Amino acid sequence: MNIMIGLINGMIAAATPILLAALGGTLTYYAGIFNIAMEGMMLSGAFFAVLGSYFFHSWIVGILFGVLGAILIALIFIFFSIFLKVDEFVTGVGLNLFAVGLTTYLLRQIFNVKGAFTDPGIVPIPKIQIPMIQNIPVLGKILSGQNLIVYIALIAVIFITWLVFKTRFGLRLRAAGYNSTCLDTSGVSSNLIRFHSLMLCGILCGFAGSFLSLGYVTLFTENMSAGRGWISLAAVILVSGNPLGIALVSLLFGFADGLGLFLQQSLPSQFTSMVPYVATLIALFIYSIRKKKKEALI
Amino acid sequence: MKNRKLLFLISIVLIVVISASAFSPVHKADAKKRAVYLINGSLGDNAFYDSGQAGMEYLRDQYGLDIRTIECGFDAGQYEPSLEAAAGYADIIFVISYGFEDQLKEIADRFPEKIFVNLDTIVENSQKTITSVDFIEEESAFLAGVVAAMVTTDTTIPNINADKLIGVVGGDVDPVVDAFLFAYENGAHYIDPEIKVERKYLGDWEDTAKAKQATLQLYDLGADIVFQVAAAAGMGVLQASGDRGLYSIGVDTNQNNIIPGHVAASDIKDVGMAIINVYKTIDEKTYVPGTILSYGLATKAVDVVFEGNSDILPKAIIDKVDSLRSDIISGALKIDIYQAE
Repeated sequence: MNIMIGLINGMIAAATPILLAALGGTLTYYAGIFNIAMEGMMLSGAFFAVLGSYFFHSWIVGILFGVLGAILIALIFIFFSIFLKVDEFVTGVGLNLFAVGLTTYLLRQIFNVKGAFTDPGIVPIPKIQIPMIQNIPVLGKILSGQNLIVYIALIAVIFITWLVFKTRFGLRLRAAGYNSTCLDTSGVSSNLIRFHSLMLCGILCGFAGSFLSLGYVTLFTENMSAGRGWISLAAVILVSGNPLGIALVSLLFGFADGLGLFLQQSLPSQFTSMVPYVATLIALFIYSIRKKKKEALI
Repeated sequence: MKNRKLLFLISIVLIVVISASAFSPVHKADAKKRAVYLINGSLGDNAFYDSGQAGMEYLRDQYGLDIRTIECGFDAGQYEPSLEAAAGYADIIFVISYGFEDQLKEIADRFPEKIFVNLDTIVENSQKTITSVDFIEEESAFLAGVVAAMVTTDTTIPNINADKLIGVVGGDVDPVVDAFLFAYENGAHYIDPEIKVERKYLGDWEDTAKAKQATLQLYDLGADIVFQVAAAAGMGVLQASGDRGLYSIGVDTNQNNIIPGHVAASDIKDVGMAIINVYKTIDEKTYVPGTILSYGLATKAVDVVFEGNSDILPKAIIDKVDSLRSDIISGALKIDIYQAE
């Protein structure tokens, strides 16, 4: 039983950063921006979260710095892609590489270490015990006692769904992606909408990065986002930006990761390392079959 | 048109002059020896590579060597140019050559007058100029296994359950990691043959989150102590032991005080000491190229250390490790050496 609970908690922990970054990615997806900079935003967020938490001895400042760190990358993206109209793909690749270099450089300059920075002075983001619920036998250990950011991610799913589909901003956001000229001629600047979507994406990626470096582990290692931003991009494309779908896909990725480690009890590790990728391929396959059927109906 | 031709000529001349001055042999004002520490990974692991760097800095301070470190950052494309650069620049090259043994052989054959010291694995080139330092990691990992086995069977230590299960997290499947795991199991079985050892491989040397997840799974299975053999990713293992109030064993350098009260011991592999020892032989002109130097417990280049572990272990465990250590050094206890298939 402990093992099952461990697997589920592992799944939630692995899914959270992917989910948050993917929710950011879905906003830019609807706004018609080909945004691949989530990886860089997340990494920058993770670094600045540790920086804030270490120097101000507070996880709240840590999250704040993490969000600002991710917004920094988002602002550069905005400057190049919206203001200067540079190709979004090239900008994104450049920024992802820039984030690796920037955080590595700052790590060496500010903390005077290479590779990893760990210190008892870094204050982690607390876990939340929910009164009543934590006493339920099995579910209590899953529903309660998660990191604060996990609950924020859950709220973010609902909030983003509401924002995209139920608000005037959401309507304009989708219009910016669907037909930006039409939006511009109706008197709303599509560039302004895109600016907002990227800023929101930065905030969400900042939370994702903070979770990585102050939530699950309390340290920063070079390139610690380790491809999670790319996986979040895959999640967005896989479900065409549907927030609930993103939540499910993120959980699937998180589960596959933990399952891969778990299966090493009985399978060679070279095979189990494939599990997350095989899961992605299967998900892609099922998705495209479903889409084809839908198109056939129309 | 004429102007353009002139410009072309001038630039050609400039290029020739500049490159000639750049490549002309540098005037050697002093006979300072130059040493390069060339590693396949990156510094900053608080462990393996960093201990080598400490040894290089000792050589700089004590022997006045001109030292440089080249980090390849696990980028295979960097191996060959780095080797070329090192061979071109230095007199002595200390190299950790996982993954580019063949290139090392080739370069060493081309520069027979240079001293190549290969650390941690055995590499032999056709001209027999490379000296290899082979750490007998089995001896210290055996002791780590002894520590783990005695911890998991001693339920008087806080939070230890009755299950005879211990864990280990490896970075990836490679001969050095497997040698560690092999001897760790042997050490545990030496104490109690019923002890089960669960292994997890990460397939990664840097993903701390994944290392933590693997460790939490091992604790969920009932293990109470986990040995990390995963370089920088291993920080996740140590943090997991702190979170659960359980125990871990550090690797390569003394990591006992990283998570105070939860890292029971560290299995050190002192690359720096090996570098210093080899350099001493070079300095005393007793250095023999093409030899294999085996550094085990007797040389203290590998060992299990308890300093800084907040005295969480009962004295019986430390005494047992001390007596086994002297048995291994004296030869009374033979440790099996891992043979890669």
